Amino acid sequence: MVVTVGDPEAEAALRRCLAMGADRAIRIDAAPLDPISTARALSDVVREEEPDLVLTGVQSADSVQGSTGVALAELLGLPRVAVVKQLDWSGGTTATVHRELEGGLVDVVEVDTPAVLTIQTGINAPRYANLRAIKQAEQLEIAVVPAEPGEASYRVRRMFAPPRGAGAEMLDGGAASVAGRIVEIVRERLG
Amino acid sequence: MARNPKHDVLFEPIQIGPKTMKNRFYQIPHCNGFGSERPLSQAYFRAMKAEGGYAACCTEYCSISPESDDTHRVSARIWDDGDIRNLSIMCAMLHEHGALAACELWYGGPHAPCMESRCVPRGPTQIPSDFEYLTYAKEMDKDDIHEVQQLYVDAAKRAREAGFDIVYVYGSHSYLPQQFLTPYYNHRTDEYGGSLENRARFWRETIEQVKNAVGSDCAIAVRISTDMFMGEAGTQLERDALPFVELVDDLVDVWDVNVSGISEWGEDATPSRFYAQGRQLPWQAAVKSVSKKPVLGVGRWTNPDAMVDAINSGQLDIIATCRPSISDPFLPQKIDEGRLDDIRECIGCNICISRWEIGGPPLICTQNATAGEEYRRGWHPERFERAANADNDVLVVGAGPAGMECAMILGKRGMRRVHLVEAQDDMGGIMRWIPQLPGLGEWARVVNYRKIQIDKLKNVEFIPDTTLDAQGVKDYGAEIVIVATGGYWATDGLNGATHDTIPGADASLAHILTPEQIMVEGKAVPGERVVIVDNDGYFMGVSLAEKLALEGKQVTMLTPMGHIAPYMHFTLEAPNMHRKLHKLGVEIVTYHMPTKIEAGGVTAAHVYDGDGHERTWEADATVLVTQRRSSEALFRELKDVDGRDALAAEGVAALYRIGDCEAPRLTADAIFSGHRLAREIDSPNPAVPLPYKRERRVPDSDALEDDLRELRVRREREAVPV
Repeated sequence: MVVTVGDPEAEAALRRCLAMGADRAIRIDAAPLDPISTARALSDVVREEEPDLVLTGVQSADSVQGSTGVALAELLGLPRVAVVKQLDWSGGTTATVHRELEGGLVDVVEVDTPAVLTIQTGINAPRYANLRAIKQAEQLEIAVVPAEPGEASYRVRRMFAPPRGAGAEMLDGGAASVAGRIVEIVRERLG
Repeated sequence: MARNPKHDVLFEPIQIGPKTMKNRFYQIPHCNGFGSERPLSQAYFRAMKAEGGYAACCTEYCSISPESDDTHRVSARIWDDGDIRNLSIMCAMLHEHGALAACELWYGGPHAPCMESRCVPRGPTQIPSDFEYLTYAKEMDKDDIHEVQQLYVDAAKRAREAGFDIVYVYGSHSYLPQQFLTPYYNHRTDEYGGSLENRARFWRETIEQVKNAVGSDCAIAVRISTDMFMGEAGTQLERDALPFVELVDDLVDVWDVNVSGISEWGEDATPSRFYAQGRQLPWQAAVKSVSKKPVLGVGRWTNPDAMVDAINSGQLDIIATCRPSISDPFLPQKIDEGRLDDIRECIGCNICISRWEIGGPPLICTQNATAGEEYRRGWHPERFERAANADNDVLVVGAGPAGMECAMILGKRGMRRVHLVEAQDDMGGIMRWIPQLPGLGEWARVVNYRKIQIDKLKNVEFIPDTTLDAQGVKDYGAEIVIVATGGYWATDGLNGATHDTIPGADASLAHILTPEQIMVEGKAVPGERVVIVDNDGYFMGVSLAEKLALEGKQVTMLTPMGHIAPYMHFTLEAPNMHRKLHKLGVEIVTYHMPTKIEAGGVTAAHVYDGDGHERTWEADATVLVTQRRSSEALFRELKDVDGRDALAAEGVAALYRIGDCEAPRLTADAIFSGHRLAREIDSPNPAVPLPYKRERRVPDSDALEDDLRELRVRREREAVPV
């Protein structure tokens, strides 16, 4: 089953999941203030559904906080693994999970289930939804659960474009002279 | 979106003589197959560019007299009042859009075969055309010179009457005025030949007379080829062109500068295979450096940054486009609105030009299926009506050129959902690998443009890596199914010459290969010696020859035709292609058709004298470029095995096929086929094209009656009593 938090516009994404094979969908009707309040809104529904595994994305495309999944795990008291790029699980009490680290390193861990995993883009090629499935998904009911927005965990004081720093040197001229100047700079800096 | 300020200079007005262009975009004279005798097709075609933001649009070459009749090719003509009336429609429509109208007055001299008028053209010297067979001019005496100059003056007055704002005295492409300037054509010893001053005399006097006649009302444009690349005999930049520019600069309001003569005018209308954007700038800049007047010139401009550079660096004043304006008549508007990724860039394939070279058919464009269809089919390149059956879902199987185009246009026509399903991991079909052939990189623009557009359309979804069988199609849930599964090169030598396979041809063998096997599957070409069998006659055989020769193979091209790649004469690619293959040591064998292919070689016979004239070319590998076949298995199963009722039971109300899946043809035709179906998806029978408007004379019934009555009277009068 698939769950999201948002206004009715968010149902398009749920319908897509239904067309791709999800059995049920729930929309938590709330306008979350931040990742923590999103996680709070999700936690009640997840607790009630008692899933064996909870999958979230790594981060949202807009605010790129990367915190909702891990906050949800904390609220539910479940183990969690972030930035998962491979999952081996046959429905038993443990799952083997490949976690993506910086520099191409992969951390292979075993995790007890139920657990919360935040899933990295590209872990699988999702099946496509054909037009028939899309049409059938349109007929399905999406459950709507109200939720209180709760307290914001932080407040945004200011948003600004970072000031242009000094010290950049633009190199003009042909490739050879630019390359020559770069060599000089590298030699200077390396001492 | 708004224009990027760095492109502002392109939208500054510019004065040319008594007229003002509202911006720097100019549609250079170019042919379209309409001339003066399909006046509405002509007017709607040019007006589309004015609507798209061009500040001025020109006719194609416009004959000033029946003495300059280019039939079999189609030129405009301004011979009489009828031509004035017909061309005035174009002028009026351009003016409605705030654009200027230009007329390229043309006299072909020995290049004009006069097959319709049966007149005798006049020329500087009696040497037959280097462009046209069996075409001679009458050598001009002084009376002829004055008479032809008067033809220019009279034609210029007619052009003014038709409403033209700019009138050319056209010399480029080796036409009469430039013939006088050029020793290759001008062997005269009188005051019209010899010294530069003498060779320039005819053109100078003609410009002067035209200016005196219409110069206060019309801008005078001169189109000059600054270098014919013919050594001493041809026009040369320093020796001829620049002194000529200085000589007549005061008489001219705008210079239109290019290079080449007519017999290799692919040096001007450059295929992307050989030349990049802006290739003529050095010559255009040279004229700009000696002229006080605005200079315009072509360069297959599609990139606004390059256009701005050309102007800001003082090399050009006005950006002239031919092919990019065919590919996208809205190029200026899209730059103006900052919609650069909506520009449908010309790929430089020259399929447009091929139609003029063939002599008669309307132009076509690979990128723009609506080119030439503005009047007769009423198609607008940027406007789409919501389909009457837009509440349907459509499945397009195959994301090659036809499938992409069809899905894109269906999306723009507001179909509820369009799914474009492709077996490969990305869009493009054959246009994913054809651009990997030597020199064809820009052809990938066919894919790039459509990919970007499809990505923007919310109702069109691309589904890669998915092969649908008939069951998959039936289960898919679409009301309309369009099969666009493309085609493939024959693996058995089936061909249009013998209408049979070639004995021994079997591409499952290691030493026999097809184009896809080489380009897509990576099948190794064994050994050193390769024979390419080319019955196709266009780019595939020669492109593979170039590729394999560049890889170090010893290549022989064998064709039953009289030329290798004869269609490339029409696209102007032939001269440089021949040059290239010759330099690479590719052996060319014409008029020979293989009779058998073996592991060690190919045996072929002369097509007209096969008996006892067989010869064997030793070869380690043979490449079959004999013909293509449609990949129609899916369509056949859906239509023949399942049939209409079975499909209807699954909710599939309509089944069509497009592109190479229907018949493997030019990419331009495949794209047209996809576009056409999408434009007519709500017609009574979308499988069959709606009739288009034909501009032809249909005598009214009174006239027919009169002619019949006259015939009857004459028969009675002449009847011999029995």
